[in-house]
Amino acid sequence: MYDLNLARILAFDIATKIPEIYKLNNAPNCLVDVPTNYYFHDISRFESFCKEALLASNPKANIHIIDDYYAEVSVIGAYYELGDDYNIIINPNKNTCWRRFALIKELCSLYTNHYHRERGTETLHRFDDYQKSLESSVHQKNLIEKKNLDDSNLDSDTFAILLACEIMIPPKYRKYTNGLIDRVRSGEMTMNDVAQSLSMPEYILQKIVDMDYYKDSCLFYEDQKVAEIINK
Amino acid sequence: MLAVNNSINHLSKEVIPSVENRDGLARLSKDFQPEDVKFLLALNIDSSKEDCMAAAKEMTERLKVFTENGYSHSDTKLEKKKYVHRIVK
Repeated sequence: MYDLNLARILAFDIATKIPEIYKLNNAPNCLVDVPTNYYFHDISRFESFCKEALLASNPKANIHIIDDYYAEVSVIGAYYELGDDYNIIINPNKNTCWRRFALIKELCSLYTNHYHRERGTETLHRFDDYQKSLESSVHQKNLIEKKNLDDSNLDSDTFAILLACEIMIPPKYRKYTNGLIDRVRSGEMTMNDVAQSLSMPEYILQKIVDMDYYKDSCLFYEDQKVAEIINK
Repeated sequence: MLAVNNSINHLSKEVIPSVENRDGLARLSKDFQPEDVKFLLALNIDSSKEDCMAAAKEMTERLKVFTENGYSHSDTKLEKKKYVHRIVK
Protein backbone atom coordinates (compact mmCIF):
# COMPACT_ATOMS: atom_id res chain seq x y z
CA MET A 1 0.00 0.00 0.00
CA TYR A 2 2.80 2.40 0.90
CA ASP A 3 5.88 2.15 -1.20
CA LEU A 4 9.00 4.24 -1.09
CA ASN A 5 8.59 5.63 -4.54
CA LEU A 6 5.13 6.97 -3.74
CA ALA A 7 6.64 9.35 -1.16
CA ARG A 8 8.84 10.87 -3.86
CA ILE A 9 6.01 11.03 -6.36
CA LEU A 10 3.68 12.72 -3.87
CA ALA A 11 6.44 15.13 -2.81
CA PHE A 12 7.10 15.89 -6.46
CA ASP A 13 3.37 16.42 -6.97
CA ILE A 14 3.23 18.81 -4.02
CA ALA A 15 6.38 20.62 -5.18
CA THR A 16 4.93 21.23 -8.64
CA LYS A 17 1.48 22.22 -7.39
CA ILE A 18 2.72 24.67 -4.79
CA PRO A 19 6.09 25.83 -6.13
CA GLU A 20 5.89 28.94 -3.98
CA ILE A 21 6.80 26.74 -1.03
CA TYR A 22 10.33 26.79 -2.35
CA LYS A 23 10.27 30.14 -4.09
CA LEU A 24 12.45 32.37 -1.97
CA ASN A 25 14.15 35.33 -3.53
CA ASN A 26 17.30 34.87 -1.51
CA ALA A 27 17.75 31.16 -2.32
CA PRO A 28 20.07 29.35 -1.95
CA ASN A 29 21.28 31.63 0.83
CA CYS A 30 17.95 31.03 2.52
CA LEU A 31 19.37 27.71 3.60
CA VAL A 32 21.96 29.51 5.66
CA ASP A 33 19.97 32.40 7.01
CA VAL A 34 16.26 31.63 7.18
CA PRO A 35 14.11 34.46 8.54
CA THR A 36 12.34 33.38 11.74
CA ASN A 37 8.84 33.72 10.37
CA TYR A 38 9.59 31.63 7.33
CA TYR A 39 9.05 28.43 9.33
CA PHE A 40 5.32 28.47 9.29
CA HIS A 41 4.68 30.47 6.18
CA ASP A 42 5.42 27.48 3.97
CA ILE A 43 3.32 25.22 6.19
CA SER A 44 0.46 27.66 6.04
CA ARG A 45 0.47 27.25 2.26
CA PHE A 46 0.81 23.48 2.57
CA GLU A 47 -2.12 23.48 4.98
CA SER A 48 -4.23 25.37 2.43
CA PHE A 49 -3.15 22.88 -0.22
CA CYS A 50 -4.30 19.94 1.93
CA LYS A 51 -7.55 21.71 2.70
CA GLU A 52 -8.25 22.34 -0.97
CA ALA A 53 -7.70 18.64 -1.65
CA LEU A 54 -10.13 17.74 1.13
CA LEU A 55 -12.75 20.28 0.06
CA ALA A 56 -12.87 18.80 -3.42
CA SER A 57 -14.43 15.66 -1.99
CA ASN A 58 -16.00 17.05 1.18
CA PRO A 59 -17.18 20.68 1.17
CA LYS A 60 -17.56 20.59 4.96
CA ALA A 61 -13.99 19.49 5.63
CA ASN A 62 -12.16 21.48 8.23
CA ILE A 63 -8.59 21.26 9.51
CA HIS A 64 -8.02 22.11 13.15
CA ILE A 65 -4.52 22.71 14.42
CA ILE A 66 -4.45 22.49 18.18
CA ASP A 67 -1.69 23.25 20.66
CA ASP A 68 -1.66 21.03 23.73
CA TYR A 69 0.16 22.93 26.48
CA TYR A 70 -0.05 19.94 28.85
CA ALA A 71 1.63 17.57 26.41
CA GLU A 72 4.45 15.53 27.88
CA VAL A 73 7.90 15.49 26.31
CA SER A 74 7.41 11.98 24.96
CA VAL A 75 4.67 13.06 22.54
CA ILE A 76 5.35 15.58 19.77
CA GLY A 77 2.00 15.49 18.09
CA ALA A 78 -1.08 13.51 17.24
CA TYR A 79 -3.66 13.25 14.52
CA TYR A 80 -7.19 11.99 14.30
CA GLU A 81 -10.23 12.42 12.13
CA LEU A 82 -13.73 12.94 13.45
CA GLY A 83 -16.44 13.28 10.86
CA ASP A 84 -15.64 16.34 8.78
CA ASP A 85 -13.00 17.51 11.23
CA TYR A 86 -9.35 16.71 10.74
CA ASN A 87 -7.47 17.40 13.94
CA ILE A 88 -3.75 17.91 14.31
CA ILE A 89 -2.44 18.26 17.84
CA ILE A 90 0.98 19.78 18.39
CA ASN A 91 3.10 19.89 21.53
CA PRO A 92 3.92 23.64 21.72
CA ASN A 93 6.60 22.99 24.33
CA LYS A 94 8.92 21.58 21.69
CA ASN A 95 11.30 23.77 19.74
CA THR A 96 10.39 25.32 16.39
CA CYS A 97 12.06 22.60 14.32
CA TRP A 98 10.20 19.78 16.07
CA ARG A 99 6.89 21.66 15.95
CA ARG A 100 7.40 22.32 12.27
CA PHE A 101 8.28 18.68 11.66
CA ALA A 102 5.24 17.47 13.65
CA LEU A 103 2.89 19.78 11.78
CA ILE A 104 4.20 18.84 8.34
CA LYS A 105 4.24 15.14 9.21
CA GLU A 106 0.63 15.24 10.43
CA LEU A 107 -0.46 17.22 7.37
CA CYS A 108 1.25 14.51 5.31
CA SER A 109 -0.75 11.87 7.21
CA LEU A 110 -3.90 13.79 6.40
CA TYR A 111 -2.96 14.21 2.76
CA THR A 112 -1.90 10.60 2.17
CA ASN A 113 -4.97 9.22 3.96
CA HIS A 114 -7.11 11.39 1.75
CA TYR A 115 -5.09 10.52 -1.35
CA HIS A 116 -5.62 6.81 -0.76
CA ARG A 117 -9.25 7.15 0.23
CA GLU A 118 -9.96 9.03 -2.99
CA ARG A 119 -8.71 5.93 -4.75
CA GLY A 120 -10.99 3.65 -2.79
CA THR A 121 -8.45 2.41 -0.28
CA GLU A 122 -8.95 2.73 3.43
CA THR A 123 -5.58 3.54 4.89
CA LEU A 124 -6.38 4.85 8.33
CA HIS A 125 -4.95 2.69 11.01
CA ARG A 126 -7.62 1.05 13.11
CA PHE A 127 -5.76 0.06 16.20
CA ASP A 128 -7.27 -2.46 18.56
CA ASP A 129 -6.21 -0.56 21.63
CA TYR A 130 -3.73 1.98 22.95
CA GLN A 131 -1.11 -0.65 23.40
CA LYS A 132 -1.16 -1.62 19.78
CA SER A 133 -1.30 2.01 18.69
CA LEU A 134 1.74 2.91 20.71
CA GLU A 135 3.62 -0.20 19.76
CA SER A 136 3.18 0.95 16.21
CA SER A 137 4.57 4.38 17.09
CA VAL A 138 7.53 2.79 18.85
CA HIS A 139 7.92 0.57 15.82
CA GLN A 140 8.07 3.80 13.79
CA LYS A 141 11.19 4.74 15.71
CA ASN A 142 12.79 1.39 14.97
CA LEU A 143 12.02 1.83 11.31
CA ILE A 144 13.65 5.22 11.07
CA GLU A 145 16.76 3.76 12.72
CA LYS A 146 17.12 1.41 9.76
CA LYS A 147 19.32 2.44 6.88
CA ASN A 148 17.49 0.42 4.33
CA LEU A 149 13.73 0.51 4.41
CA ASP A 150 11.81 -2.42 3.10
CA ASP A 151 8.55 -1.58 1.35
CA SER A 152 6.75 -4.36 3.16
CA ASN A 153 7.56 -2.77 6.52
CA LEU A 154 6.27 0.62 5.57
CA ASP A 155 3.29 1.68 7.66
CA SER A 156 1.33 4.87 7.13
CA ASP A 157 3.21 6.77 9.84
CA THR A 158 6.63 5.92 8.48
CA PHE A 159 5.40 6.86 5.05
CA ALA A 160 4.23 10.23 6.40
CA ILE A 161 7.66 10.80 7.98
CA LEU A 162 9.39 10.14 4.66
CA LEU A 163 7.02 12.45 2.83
CA ALA A 164 7.56 15.14 5.48
CA CYS A 165 11.32 14.83 4.97
CA GLU A 166 10.91 15.13 1.22
CA ILE A 167 9.07 18.39 1.83
CA MET A 168 11.43 19.66 4.51
CA ILE A 169 14.46 19.06 2.30
CA PRO A 170 13.08 20.80 -0.79
CA PRO A 171 13.78 18.90 -4.03
CA LYS A 172 14.76 22.17 -5.66
CA TYR A 173 17.58 22.73 -3.15
CA ARG A 174 18.57 19.10 -2.78
CA LYS A 175 21.86 19.56 -4.56
CA TYR A 176 22.75 22.55 -2.41
CA THR A 177 21.73 20.69 0.76
CA ASN A 178 23.90 17.75 -0.25
CA GLY A 179 26.78 20.20 -0.67
CA LEU A 180 26.25 21.31 2.93
CA ILE A 181 26.13 17.70 4.09
CA ASP A 182 29.43 17.06 2.33
CA ARG A 183 30.89 19.97 4.29
CA VAL A 184 29.59 18.33 7.47
CA ARG A 185 31.40 15.13 6.50
CA SER A 186 34.61 17.05 5.91
CA GLY A 187 34.27 18.73 9.29
CA GLU A 188 33.65 22.28 8.04
CA MET A 189 30.10 22.41 9.40
CA THR A 190 27.99 20.48 11.87
CA MET A 191 24.79 18.65 11.08
CA ASN A 192 23.10 20.97 13.53
CA ASP A 193 24.00 23.96 11.29
CA VAL A 194 22.39 22.28 8.31
CA ALA A 195 19.35 21.19 10.33
CA GLN A 196 18.86 24.71 11.63
CA SER A 197 19.13 26.17 8.16
CA LEU A 198 16.45 23.76 6.95
CA SER A 199 14.39 24.37 10.11
CA MET A 200 14.12 20.66 10.77
CA PRO A 201 15.18 18.47 13.71
CA GLU A 202 18.83 17.42 13.56
CA TYR A 203 17.89 13.90 14.69
CA ILE A 204 15.54 13.45 11.75
CA LEU A 205 17.95 15.01 9.23
CA GLN A 206 20.82 12.77 10.38
CA LYS A 207 18.66 9.65 10.16
CA ILE A 208 17.24 10.49 6.77
CA VAL A 209 20.53 11.37 5.04
CA ASP A 210 22.03 8.10 6.33
CA MET A 211 19.29 6.10 4.64
CA ASP A 212 19.59 4.40 1.30
CA TYR A 213 16.17 5.85 0.61
CA TYR A 214 17.61 9.38 0.63
CA LYS A 215 20.29 8.51 -1.93
CA ASP A 216 17.65 7.02 -4.24
CA SER A 217 15.51 10.06 -3.64
CA CYS A 218 18.32 12.39 -4.71
CA LEU A 219 18.82 10.36 -7.90
CA PHE A 220 15.11 10.68 -8.61
CA TYR A 221 15.29 14.49 -8.42
CA GLU A 222 18.45 14.55 -10.53
CA ASP A 223 16.57 12.99 -13.40
CA GLN A 224 16.61 15.60 -16.15
CA LYS A 225 12.85 15.67 -16.73
CA VAL A 226 12.06 15.86 -13.03
CA ALA A 227 14.73 18.53 -12.49
CA GLU A 228 13.34 20.64 -15.34
CA ILE A 229 9.88 20.66 -13.81
CA ILE A 230 11.09 21.38 -10.28
CA ASN A 231 13.46 24.16 -11.31
CA LYS A 232 10.89 26.03 -13.38
CA MET B 1 -24.48 43.39 40.03
CA LEU B 2 -23.50 44.09 36.49
CA ALA B 3 -20.18 42.45 37.16
CA VAL B 4 -21.95 39.36 38.56
CA ASN B 5 -24.24 39.20 35.53
CA ASN B 6 -21.29 39.50 33.23
CA SER B 7 -19.58 36.77 35.16
CA ILE B 8 -22.64 34.49 34.84
CA ASN B 9 -22.93 35.28 31.15
CA HIS B 10 -19.28 34.48 30.75
CA LEU B 11 -19.77 31.20 32.59
CA SER B 12 -22.81 30.23 30.59
CA LYS B 13 -20.94 30.84 27.38
CA GLU B 14 -17.69 29.22 28.36
CA VAL B 15 -18.60 26.39 30.68
CA ILE B 16 -22.24 25.35 30.39
CA PRO B 17 -22.90 23.67 27.06
CA SER B 18 -26.00 24.69 25.15
CA VAL B 19 -28.75 22.17 24.34
CA GLU B 20 -27.34 21.99 20.86
CA ASN B 21 -23.91 21.32 22.28
CA ARG B 22 -25.30 18.66 24.62
CA ASP B 23 -26.77 16.82 21.64
CA GLY B 24 -23.46 17.21 19.92
CA LEU B 25 -21.76 15.97 23.05
CA ALA B 26 -23.72 12.72 23.01
CA ARG B 27 -22.95 12.19 19.37
CA LEU B 28 -19.28 12.98 19.77
CA SER B 29 -18.92 10.74 22.80
CA LYS B 30 -20.27 7.89 20.77
CA ASP B 31 -18.18 8.68 17.71
CA PHE B 32 -14.97 9.47 19.51
CA GLN B 33 -12.74 6.49 19.16
CA PRO B 34 -9.46 7.19 20.98
CA GLU B 35 -7.87 4.19 19.32
CA ASP B 36 -8.07 6.12 16.05
CA VAL B 37 -5.77 8.83 17.39
CA LYS B 38 -2.34 8.41 15.90
CA PHE B 39 0.56 9.70 17.95
CA LEU B 40 3.89 11.05 16.87
CA LEU B 41 6.25 10.20 19.68
CA ALA B 42 9.45 12.08 20.38
CA LEU B 43 11.81 10.05 18.24
CA ASN B 44 14.95 11.60 19.68
CA ILE B 45 14.40 10.58 23.30
CA ASP B 46 14.13 7.18 24.91
CA SER B 47 10.94 7.36 26.91
CA SER B 48 9.59 4.14 28.37
CA LYS B 49 6.53 2.65 26.75
CA GLU B 50 4.61 3.24 30.00
CA ASP B 51 5.49 6.95 29.91
CA CYS B 52 4.44 7.21 26.29
CA MET B 53 1.17 5.41 27.01
CA ALA B 54 0.39 7.64 29.97
CA ALA B 55 1.18 10.81 28.00
CA ALA B 56 -0.86 9.66 25.02
CA LYS B 57 -3.79 8.69 27.21
CA GLU B 58 -3.80 12.07 28.92
CA MET B 59 -3.57 13.86 25.60
CA THR B 60 -6.51 11.87 24.28
CA GLU B 61 -8.59 12.71 27.35
CA ARG B 62 -7.91 16.42 26.90
CA LEU B 63 -8.65 16.15 23.23
CA LYS B 64 -11.96 14.43 23.92
CA VAL B 65 -13.13 17.20 26.25
CA PHE B 66 -11.87 19.87 23.87
CA THR B 67 -13.71 18.50 20.81
CA GLU B 68 -16.87 17.80 22.77
CA ASN B 69 -16.91 21.41 23.86
CA GLY B 70 -16.80 22.63 20.30
CA TYR B 71 -13.03 23.17 20.20
CA SER B 72 -13.05 25.55 23.11
CA HIS B 73 -12.48 24.81 26.73
CA SER B 74 -10.04 26.79 28.78
CA ASP B 75 -9.57 24.04 31.38
CA THR B 76 -8.10 21.60 28.93
CA LYS B 77 -5.10 23.83 28.22
CA LEU B 78 -5.66 23.12 24.58
CA GLU B 79 -5.75 25.96 22.13
CA LYS B 80 -6.91 25.98 18.56
CA LYS B 81 -4.29 27.73 16.54
CA LYS B 82 -3.98 28.93 13.02
CA TYR B 83 -0.48 29.37 11.75
CA VAL B 84 -0.74 32.60 9.83
CA HIS B 85 2.51 34.42 9.37
CA ARG B 86 3.70 37.25 7.27
CA ILE B 87 4.95 36.53 3.80
CA VAL B 88 8.72 36.68 3.68
CA LYS B 89 9.98 38.63 0.70
